[in-house]
Amino acid sequence: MLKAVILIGGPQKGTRFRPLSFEVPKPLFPVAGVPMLQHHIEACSKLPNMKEILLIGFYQPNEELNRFLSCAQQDFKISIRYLQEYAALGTGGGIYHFRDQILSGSPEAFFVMNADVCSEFPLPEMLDFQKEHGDAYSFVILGTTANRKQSLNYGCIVENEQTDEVLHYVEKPSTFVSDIINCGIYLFTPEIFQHIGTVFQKNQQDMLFCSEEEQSNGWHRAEVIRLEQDIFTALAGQGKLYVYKTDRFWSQIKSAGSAIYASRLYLNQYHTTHPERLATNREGGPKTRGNVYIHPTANIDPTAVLGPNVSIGTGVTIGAGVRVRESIILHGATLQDHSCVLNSIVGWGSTIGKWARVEGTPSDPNPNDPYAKIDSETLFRDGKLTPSITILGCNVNIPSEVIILNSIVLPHKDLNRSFKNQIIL
Amino acid sequence: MLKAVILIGGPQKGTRFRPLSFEVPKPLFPVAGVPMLQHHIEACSKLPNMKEILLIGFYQPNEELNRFLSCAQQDFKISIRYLQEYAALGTGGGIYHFRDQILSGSPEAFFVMNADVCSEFPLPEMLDFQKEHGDAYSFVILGTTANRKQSLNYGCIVENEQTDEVLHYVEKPSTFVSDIINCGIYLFTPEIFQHIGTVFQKNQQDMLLYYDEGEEQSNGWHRAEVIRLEQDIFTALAGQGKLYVYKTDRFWSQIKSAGSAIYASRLYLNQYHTTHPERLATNREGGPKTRGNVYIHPTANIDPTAVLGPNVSIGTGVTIGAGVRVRESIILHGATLQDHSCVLNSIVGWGSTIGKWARVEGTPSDPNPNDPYAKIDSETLFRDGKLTPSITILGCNVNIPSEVIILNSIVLPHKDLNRSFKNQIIL
Repeated sequence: MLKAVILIGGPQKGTRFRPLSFEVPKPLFPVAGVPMLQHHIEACSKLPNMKEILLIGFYQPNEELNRFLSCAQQDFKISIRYLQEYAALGTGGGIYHFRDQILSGSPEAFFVMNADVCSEFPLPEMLDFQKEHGDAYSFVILGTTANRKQSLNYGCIVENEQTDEVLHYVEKPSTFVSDIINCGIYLFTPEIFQHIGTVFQKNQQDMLFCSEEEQSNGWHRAEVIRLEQDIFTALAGQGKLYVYKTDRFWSQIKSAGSAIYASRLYLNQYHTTHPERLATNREGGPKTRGNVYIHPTANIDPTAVLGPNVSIGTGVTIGAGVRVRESIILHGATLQDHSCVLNSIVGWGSTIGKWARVEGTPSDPNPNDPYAKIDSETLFRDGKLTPSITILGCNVNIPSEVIILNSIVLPHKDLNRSFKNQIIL
Repeated sequence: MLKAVILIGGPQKGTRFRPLSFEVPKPLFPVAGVPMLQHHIEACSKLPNMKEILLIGFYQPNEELNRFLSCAQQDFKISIRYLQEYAALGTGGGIYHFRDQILSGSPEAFFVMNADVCSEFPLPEMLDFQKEHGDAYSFVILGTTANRKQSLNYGCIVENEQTDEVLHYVEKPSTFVSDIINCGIYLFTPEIFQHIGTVFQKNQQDMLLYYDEGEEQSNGWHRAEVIRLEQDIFTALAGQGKLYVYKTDRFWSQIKSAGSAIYASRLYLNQYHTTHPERLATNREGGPKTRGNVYIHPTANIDPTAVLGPNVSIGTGVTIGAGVRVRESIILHGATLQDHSCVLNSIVGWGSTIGKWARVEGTPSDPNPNDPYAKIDSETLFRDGKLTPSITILGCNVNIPSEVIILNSIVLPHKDLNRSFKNQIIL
């Protein structure tokens, strides 16, 4: 039988997703209309032998997480549990700490995936690939191709092109190593814990030697183990680690801007996987262009024009003559008549006034480069705010007739004038 | 008998004080070691006839506010109550809505003050001034002098220099009107409510006239009950023989941004020499070296080799390691400054940690010291798309690693940094 483990992080992680992550844990942020995690869970539950999905992270139990878990269990008829780490243990330390729970029921293999990736999840293909490569205990990393410059931002894999074995693994190298990058989706067998255990023991011994001073990287503890730096780098070239390359869509979801890009990828996938989630041009409804998701409880004027790549959340009200494009409108927001929302995320319960224009700058990958990935740009460059997606936190009120351009507005804020290229605290 | 009303605002106000106002309502932010409001309350309670202090605002009741109220009642032995507005009613609408509570017990007069001002509070002088000017029902605005350029950011008062009557009042004019500005501290008599009531009735009638159109009013979420003392009352009362201005040259400053909290701390710490000398730290055996005015809470744990000041406030339970230098900064409760770190012109948030040899530095926005009338700038965060260099602010639970520099930056709460940052807002 199979299991899946999804690493969902915690509040200290995912701070690049602020201010959206103030209201809801990032893994629950809606992408293409459903929580980010749900795309992982849907892909896992399609596998016939999948018996349990474990979420590992260090969020305190909270209402949204619990509600999501119970809904997901009902919808997918599969055991889904949240295991809370006692501290941030890293991508390897977390699964090692919970190895008993992962191995209960004796799965032959289990997937491990990061919550903040957007993917077509070629899980059956990874299972077939694993049977054909190495022995019964080999591990598989899902890889994809990036361009040379952007590969430096990811884990880079040097492979043996005949055997697909991972010869070298370098996480975020300073100079070019390989254009095959780590997608953050893995297929392990129970033997992985022997390798993590070896590293764990070694770290414990090192800790004894330097007990008084803090270790060089700050708040490091012996139990923090990172799969990428600590495990893969050591396993490379040992005949145990293989890379399955995919050219299907894949993207990281680190910043709010990448959530819009990921929405576009998933909305496009809905044509084959969930056509019922895509809005159609119907009598009495708004005009849609391209792929649009509209929650059934949204109230939208027929003269509005939505899309492409628009997600409308629960209870949203959209007035007459509104234009929305490449944007995510979160639950309970109100867009008043003739407003225009482009390349933006409008937060829960926010209001956009009449004729207001809320506009951001997309940071999409270069469409002429098939291997380009979305940039994880820093907010500031040379003291200036980089033009990016406009984000309105929850309960932000935009008055009529103003423009909010390339700006980030923190929650619970009433604006009274236009803003361009600013962070409004 | 007398009363005092302090307008404390609410969560939608004071957003320029973020990220510090995420953790604590701005009126409770510690300035010179004690909550901002406490300076108002101390000044009011010194008046012998002061019987009650009312706080009016629209914060939901919360733990910090309740705790502050009960401590203040015990410390000052005076009735202190919080009256929560059902909506943001404006500086005039709030006191009008609660006029019954303000007038209960028949006070002859009552002070009204904004919570976010830092002042020497010349309240006895305002009382004497009121008796000498106008009739028994006249109203007094506390005024001070600003320079011509900065006066445009405040309420401007044109006075009759012989009678001190307010002839004209303009709030934030677009061109120069007067260098006498409104300090946000007023002395009213019960008759003020007749004037506010007149404006209230007129607004109600205007609402009825426009109601049918179903459109929002021109300024967004305006409601008939919102009345602003400055624009709606003072402007109408000017030149009517009822409104007077008492000019002071004692210290005064607004506290709008986090940077102005450091400047206000300096003013209050200086005042402690006369009002609360016990709050100023002295150079003593086994304690840190202090320069200038420093406030250290008794529960703070400070290495003797640290050097603090001038203008430093250390909160409860703060730990400061060996060889630490702190200057012109506020260190909030529970923060830890590890050995040899350096904190200049910054506010370090609750429970934050500064690593060894780290440098946390901001740029002060103090008023021009060569101009006695200069006020602290209320600069906008961004200018031409760039972040204006300002005080560095670390929100609560921010961890700064060793040996980095954090310069002119604002860090939001619950953040672990892993490298240096300059001139950035880190969400």
